[in-house]
Amino acid sequence: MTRTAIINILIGVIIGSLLAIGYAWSRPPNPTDASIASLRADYKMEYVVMIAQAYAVDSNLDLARSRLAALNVKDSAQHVADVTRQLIIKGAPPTDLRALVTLTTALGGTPPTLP
Amino acid sequence: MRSPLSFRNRARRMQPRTSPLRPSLLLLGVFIGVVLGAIYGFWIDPVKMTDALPSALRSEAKDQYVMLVASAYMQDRNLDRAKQRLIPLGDAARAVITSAQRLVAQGKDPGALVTLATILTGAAAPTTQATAITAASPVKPLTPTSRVTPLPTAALTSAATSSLIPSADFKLITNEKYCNDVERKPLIIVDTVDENSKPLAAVRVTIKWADGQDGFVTGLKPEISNSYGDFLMQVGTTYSVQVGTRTPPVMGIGTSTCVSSRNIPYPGAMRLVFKRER
Repeated sequence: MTRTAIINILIGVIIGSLLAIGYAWSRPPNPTDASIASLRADYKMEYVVMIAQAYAVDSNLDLARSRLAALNVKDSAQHVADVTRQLIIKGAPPTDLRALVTLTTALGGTPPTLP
Repeated sequence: MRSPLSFRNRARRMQPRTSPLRPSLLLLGVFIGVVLGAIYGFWIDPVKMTDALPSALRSEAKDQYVMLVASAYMQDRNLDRAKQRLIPLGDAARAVITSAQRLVAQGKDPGALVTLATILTGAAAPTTQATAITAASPVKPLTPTSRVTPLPTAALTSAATSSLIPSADFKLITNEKYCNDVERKPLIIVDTVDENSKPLAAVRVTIKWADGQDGFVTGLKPEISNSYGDFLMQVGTTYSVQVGTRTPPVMGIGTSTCVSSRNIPYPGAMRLVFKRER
């Protein structure tokens, strides 16, 4: 294959790739195919609170871990601790905060001090 | 005297100049590029939804969300908060029942969804009325023009054959032939109502026959009634219908014989109405 042929194919590949990627990225995402990780920030925070509340009832740490995994966070314990801190600032109900602290501790994290 | 080389150069210069672009190779490249670009753009790094509302979740994620709402409700028993969390999903009761139905169909334990569904459908606390307005609408009478579409029946595991409203017991108040000349489907139609004859959703119904078993949950056809559920019978097979687990099954249910307006007989449906007793 000559150099000219290779250059022709490469130019085509670049044009084709740009067209296809442009098309793919310009399409709106499926409105009913969102994952837990793509929830809006306030719903994600509420999701973590619910996980903590559920853990307070069933004490099932594996289940809590798997639920937290759906949020795609690197460090679950740290994430729960961060949410706890934010909710302390927002003045969340003490029962929620206690549930979050319990979950953070169970996950091996360092919970913030409750007010 | 000119050298042979200069003759060759001159001859080359005299040839028509060809473009370095070759359409066939370019097209081949474009084709390869489109394939590679599509793989990257659609699968490797697709557009992801951000800031999504719970209503945009895919069904399994929605089930997880609803299950968590129900589990959280078990902790704080705060119905208003549970409703608030379910608002983005539209009709709270329907969202919970639908998730419960999906979990049952998958052979999973609906767990806390049972409690929340019961309360949201107005079966318990009076404070649920605001959310359970649709559930509180009267049972729509079935007329020959009613749309009767079979539900996708859910396979029930033996471990999950209890009613979604476990504490309730039911009494059969109607067992009648039902003919629909338009649809002509041999259905078992089950309506479940509460003590005040108001529609009762989320009641599990188990259908058994000689060599099989199936079931459904009432209330998944709100366009007919929040108390409605149905099952498509096979002609010649006899079924038993059990609502919940404590109510004795109604035995010997089979297709009825209906006659069309042109005097043509066809297999008809049976309609059973169960009323909850305390």
